[in-house]
Amino acid sequence: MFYQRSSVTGRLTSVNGVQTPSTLSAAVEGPAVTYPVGTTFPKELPAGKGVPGLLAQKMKLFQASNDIPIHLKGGPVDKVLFGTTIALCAVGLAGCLQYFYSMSFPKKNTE
Amino acid sequence: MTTHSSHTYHLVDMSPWPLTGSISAMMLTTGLVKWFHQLNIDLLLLGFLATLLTMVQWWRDTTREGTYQGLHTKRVMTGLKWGMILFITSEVLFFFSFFWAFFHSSLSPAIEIGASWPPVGIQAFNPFQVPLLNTAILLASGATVTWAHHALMESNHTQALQGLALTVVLGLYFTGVQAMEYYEAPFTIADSVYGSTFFVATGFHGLHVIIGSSFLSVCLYRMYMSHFSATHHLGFEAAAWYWHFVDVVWLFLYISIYWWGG
Repeated sequence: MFYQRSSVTGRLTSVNGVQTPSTLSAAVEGPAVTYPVGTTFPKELPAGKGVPGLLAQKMKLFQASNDIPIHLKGGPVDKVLFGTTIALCAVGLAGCLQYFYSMSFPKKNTE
Repeated sequence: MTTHSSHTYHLVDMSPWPLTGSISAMMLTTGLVKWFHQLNIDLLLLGFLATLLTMVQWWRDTTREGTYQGLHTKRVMTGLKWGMILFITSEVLFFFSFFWAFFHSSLSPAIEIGASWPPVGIQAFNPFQVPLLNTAILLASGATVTWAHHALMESNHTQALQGLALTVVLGLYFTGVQAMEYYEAPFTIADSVYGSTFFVATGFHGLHVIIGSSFLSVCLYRMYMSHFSATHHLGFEAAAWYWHFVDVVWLFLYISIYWWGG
């Protein structure tokens, strides 16, 4: 049987999982741990602030399981920014090509 | 895309930013040529705007992947760190070429500039006035960014914010003082090889200070939004590395161009 000493409870505990058939996994427990009087346990410590609300919201939004790519996952503002960038690039690319053409085939001075 | 995987690598989403960045870069270069030939800056301004939009959105997405999706694992961070190290190394070589030009021209000054350095007719800055103040400002900013880093590693959010805010202020102070110095300069970029090497080297350094200040400002915002923890704050560390690099370049500029070369 596969078992290990838990670093949390200090007891020997059988491990549920592939190593042990569940029907045979009788828990192996060591003697109860006696702690010195006045020991402070982690759960009794004052709770930290944790993840701030706005950050937690963002984490939830961006970890949502959907097929939206990261640059659009934030919402409507993302679409506006992305659209603006693509539009600027399209206009600019056309401007570049038009300028290359005008420099390659300059208008002849008719005067 | 799912944020859960059975490996520690980061497989990025399809991104439009390399394409928009490339097109923006072509707009910038073509826009410069158009400006020089026709005194028309419309394409150049369009290029600046598109480049700015690409930068903002690309780095915003990097923040989303790292901070919100948790995709910057230890292994990914190693790659990012190496990327930053190689980038700063390339920047060192960039500045190396300007120092090469400076020493080439100053160590054996040509007969055309009076065989002296500074060249005949050039009135150089006094290195112990404004340039020394700028040295003090940058050295102080190196101390404050380290203060912010140590406060961050001790989870002292308040002091980390104070230290970083002070660093940004010192960076802006340096830029302001340098702008005044340029305004007051008795020589221009067109005044012999002295003016050329001086303004190209210090000008590119000033540009890097502005870039570093922007990088630190983004970090200040992210720190305020609790994006950084005591053990995971690679964006901040990269900004601090970059800032120290800018600081060291200034020390070399000060010693060789302002002090020895003045």
